[in-house]
Amino acid sequence: MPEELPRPHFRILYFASAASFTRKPSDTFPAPMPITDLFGVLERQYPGITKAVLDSCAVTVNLEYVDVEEAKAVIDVGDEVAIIPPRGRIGLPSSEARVTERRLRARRVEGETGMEEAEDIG
Amino acid sequence: MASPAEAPKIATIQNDSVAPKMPNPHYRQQEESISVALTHDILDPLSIMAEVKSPKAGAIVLFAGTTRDNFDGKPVTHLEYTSYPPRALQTMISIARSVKAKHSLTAICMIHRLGVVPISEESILIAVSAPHRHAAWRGGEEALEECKEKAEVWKLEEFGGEEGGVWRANRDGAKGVRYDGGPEEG
Repeated sequence: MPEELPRPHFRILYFASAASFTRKPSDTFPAPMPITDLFGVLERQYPGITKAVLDSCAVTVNLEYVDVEEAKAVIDVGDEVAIIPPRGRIGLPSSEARVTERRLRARRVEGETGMEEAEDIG
Repeated sequence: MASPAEAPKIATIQNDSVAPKMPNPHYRQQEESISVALTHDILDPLSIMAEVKSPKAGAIVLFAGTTRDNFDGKPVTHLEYTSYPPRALQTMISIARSVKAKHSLTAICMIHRLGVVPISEESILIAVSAPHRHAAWRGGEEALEECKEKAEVWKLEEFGGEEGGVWRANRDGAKGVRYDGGPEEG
């Protein structure tokens, strides 16, 4: 394969604290990639990012919230992935924030807004 | 005073600066009686009220969130909001639909400002209309709380001096993350 050909890739967007850590708004990585590999790839590129940022973040693929521990999910060529830092949840111990984020994420995956169950955890 | 029908739509709000400038990106999603938007422009309370006005509604509640000059006593020079616009619009319209249905609102409109917002200017406006005031009060409050909690909009507080900025959860009282990504001291 000629070297000039662009490699198949996906784009990942960083916001707020994630962008501060990476010091850039986005990256591209080779695709396809199992979603479960994503945080490992980011940690190799940006040592320390998992503990400092990712543990409390959610992830979207093509605007939909996904579970990064969902074994079957794969990021495809051309997908837009985003690291979504917490909005109302910064300041919690990271383990608690992570559990909370995961719960919210699960609700989002199910297509609910979780309005009635919204908890005041700030 | 312009009648509601003649009031400018939010999409056309412009700064009244004389110098021509590049148009700032403006994001908007709407459906019947619901409108959500993100803009870099100055927010206009009258036009958002005009959007929700209706002969069926006896009450309009307008909330204006303005930027404060301090956080826990520390002076804040300005705030900056950043967003993932297409995702934030989806979240905001989902909140608007839910709140409108739950409180039987006549109409709801939410707009969040992005970029640098000087102290004491509005960063968010929420207007809801309802046949009666109780539904409007409750619906407006719930829409605001949900928006601050869930919309993919982040707030950077710039303290000035050596401390630099802090990414703040877009919610009162929550601790932030320093701009360099480390945890905030204290």
